[in-house]
Amino acid sequence: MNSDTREILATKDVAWERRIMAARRRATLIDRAMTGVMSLAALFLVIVLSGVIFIILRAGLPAISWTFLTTASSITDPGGGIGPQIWVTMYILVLSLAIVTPIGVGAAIYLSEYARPGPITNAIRFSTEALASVPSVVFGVFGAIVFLTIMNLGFSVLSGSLTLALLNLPLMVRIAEDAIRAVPTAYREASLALGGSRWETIRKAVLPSALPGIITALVLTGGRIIGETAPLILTTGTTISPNAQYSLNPLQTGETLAVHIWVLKIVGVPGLQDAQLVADGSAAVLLLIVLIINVGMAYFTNRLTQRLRGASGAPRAGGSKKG
Amino acid sequence: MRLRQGIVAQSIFFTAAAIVALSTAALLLFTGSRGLAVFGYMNPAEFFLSGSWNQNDENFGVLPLLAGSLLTVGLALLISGPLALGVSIFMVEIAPEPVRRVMRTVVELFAALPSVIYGLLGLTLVVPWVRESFGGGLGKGILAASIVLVFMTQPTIVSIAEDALRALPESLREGALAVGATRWQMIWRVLLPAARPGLITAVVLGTGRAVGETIAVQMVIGNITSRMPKSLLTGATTMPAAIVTQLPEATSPEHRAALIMVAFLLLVITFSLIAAVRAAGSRGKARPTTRRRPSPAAQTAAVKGGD
Repeated sequence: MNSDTREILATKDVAWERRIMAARRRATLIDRAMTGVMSLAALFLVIVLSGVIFIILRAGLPAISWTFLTTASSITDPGGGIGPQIWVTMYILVLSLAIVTPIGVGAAIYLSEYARPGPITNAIRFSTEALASVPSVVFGVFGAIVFLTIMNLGFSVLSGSLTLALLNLPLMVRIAEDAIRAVPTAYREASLALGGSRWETIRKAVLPSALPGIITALVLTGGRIIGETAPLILTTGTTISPNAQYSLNPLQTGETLAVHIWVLKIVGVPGLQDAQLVADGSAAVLLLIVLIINVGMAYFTNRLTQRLRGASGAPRAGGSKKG
Repeated sequence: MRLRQGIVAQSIFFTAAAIVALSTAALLLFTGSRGLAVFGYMNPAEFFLSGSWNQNDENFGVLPLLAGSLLTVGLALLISGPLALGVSIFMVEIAPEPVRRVMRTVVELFAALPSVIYGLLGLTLVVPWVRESFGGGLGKGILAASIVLVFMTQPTIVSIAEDALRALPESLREGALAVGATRWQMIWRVLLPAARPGLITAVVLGTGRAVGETIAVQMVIGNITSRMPKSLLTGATTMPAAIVTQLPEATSPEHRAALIMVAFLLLVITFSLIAAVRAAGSRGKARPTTRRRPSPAAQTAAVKGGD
């Protein structure tokens, strides 16, 4: 190699290295910038959520008092409460959970413990998945057709509860099935080895272990029921009869807390001066319920997973016993 | 005795599962048959091509509703998609574990907030802001509805996109970093292309969520059905908003049938989105075999249909 070529190579190297250095610097710069952008996106969501909670509570908390929560609402005089709306909300919550839980858990048991791969299981799975994607207003329309018109239940708490039960069925099935599948196969094998039948195994070994998961499903479903609006407007109605404000009759029309907010803000109650305040107060109550449910649930599941991890050594087999 | 008990139990559980399957069929059947009845009153061309939905002159053209839905959802996704993608990348690739856990709670709370609260905030914050910043009109319209939808679609898109990114094998990251890529180069050139099927699924399901959203949109869009949307700032409507506004008051059988037909169209749209996701999933090679099951609350975030 003569000195000329060596010189050329050397100069080439310097130029090449400069280009690499420049590219590196640019890449590092872009990397930092994009890290910033993505962190800002996350920060933005945190700020919006805190803002939402702060604004709703600041506007609504002053309205909340024991009288507000317990007295009947008024469409004329200020100072009315939301007692009947809370009553209807709880009534619909209990009624639809009572309908959706046995069907949802039953379907989940079938899918995890009995179903064999095949066209019928496929059809059930596909239906569950499809049902989960249906917009809630379509459930409302379906409820209006089937429960109001065909079964002639009219606008009623029962129609609304049936509609919401249907709406929450897929979620219930999915979470309950996950909970049942998470029960270690060893539990089933132990029960079967002791001479238990399949039904006894499910009842005495599988379901008790899956219970926390099933309760999670119940609470999350409950949270959704409390916040639901559109399907209820179409099936339960938007009024509470003044002479049946705490009625147990499931064929009464009803108005949940969420629907009440919508009525106050959108339909309007012309004679009511403090409609804004009642709406704000109702929103704060609704938000508090939802926050308590979700934060409580997060705490509960964290504790549970920690306990399960703590008791480790036991295999956490996800698979279930088939066939 | 024990045998009989077992058989009874099994048939009860099968019945429960069958109810789920039959509900889906019933949903299609009843909304379909009652909705298609509208073509007994008007011909399909009129229904699908007329640019006015007016119950006073009994003219039900679905175009204003379709156009409103399309514009609202399109505009919302334009903002919501990149935002959610950024957040999910932050959660998987950047945030340390405690921060990631906080972010997950934040995203789950976005899903847990009732629609009517989004609508209330839309009315008190977004609508006045639109009115003052862009001038003219009431502020109710497609832009306001889109802004509300941006936040309502976050949980769906973020939770699915996060799962897709997390499911990528660690070797992809190691390989990219080993050849000297910066973190962003690794994300942009390696992770995002590899996770593409999952990311598309996330956006498609977010679309489904946005298309079905009812109350929050109804509260801020102004509910004008009689004409095509004129601009992003003036009153318009969407398919679900029109249903919930008009169905309780619809008395003529023609009006009812037309609204039920709109619900059936919504059903067809969401089922097609699911079918598209399924088709893409079975084709896409990056579908992981060992998929982490998301937490129950994250599942609510992912499946919650529009209210």
